[in-house]
Amino acid sequence: MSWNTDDEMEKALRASLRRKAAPPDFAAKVLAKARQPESISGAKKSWLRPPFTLALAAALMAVAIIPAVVLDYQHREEAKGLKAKRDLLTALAITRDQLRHARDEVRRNTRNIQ
Amino acid sequence: MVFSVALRFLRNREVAEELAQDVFLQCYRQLEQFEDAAHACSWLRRAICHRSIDELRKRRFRPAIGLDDVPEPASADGAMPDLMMQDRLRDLVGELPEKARMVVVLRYQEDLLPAEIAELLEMPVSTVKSHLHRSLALLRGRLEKRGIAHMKKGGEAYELEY
Repeated sequence: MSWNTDDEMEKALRASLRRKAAPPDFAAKVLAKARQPESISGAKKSWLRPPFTLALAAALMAVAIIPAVVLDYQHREEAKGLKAKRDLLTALAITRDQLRHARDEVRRNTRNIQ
Repeated sequence: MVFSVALRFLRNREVAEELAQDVFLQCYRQLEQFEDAAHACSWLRRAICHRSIDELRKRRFRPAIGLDDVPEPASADGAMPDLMMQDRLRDLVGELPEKARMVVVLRYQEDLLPAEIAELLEMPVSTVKSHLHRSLALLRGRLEKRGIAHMKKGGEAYELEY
């Protein structure tokens, strides 16, 4: 056989590259894989592997915990603010009473002098 | 078709089988997306071509051909030289650069037209034709160098450009 022309070369290539049939159990293997749940059939679901699972769990926990911590902090700050407000009002009331008392004393003394 | 394209391109039976199974599995899982058999066939062909090229780039493995791929012993009608030559030609096709190899496999195994190959591999038709022309010249040159063919033309230019 010779390949002096492109036609002859192409013919030789077609003969060499004839389709090769898949192994007899090929279809059975594909069907067996297809019957497996998708999540465990391949390594493609890399996010289900342990390091990723842990990271995912940590992220979910963070998402769940952080708002609670923030709310608790806000409540505490609010309570502190209310207490400070109450203390201030008490202090103002005491000061007001003391000033009234002082004013009354001044008035009484002034009257006595006159 | 799917297994055979992967086998001829990768020259590794195990990897070709694994890859072909993956492609069929993917196809099976998205069956509802295909309009008809021709659409599914075209999808399979495209998928196996691109997956095979990716696999070759990823692995760069040595060819592993099984007993099934070895030519049968010679028969009385003198078929031996042809079978040996076919085997040698397959090896030479396997030595072509990846894109040229895929073009040759699709042209001579799948019998696709250059325009169909161009669409499948997302390259201009002129590039496909150029790959074919240069691959034929290179294969002819290599066969001649090994004394298998008796050629007047050579294909060294293609080899040098790669």
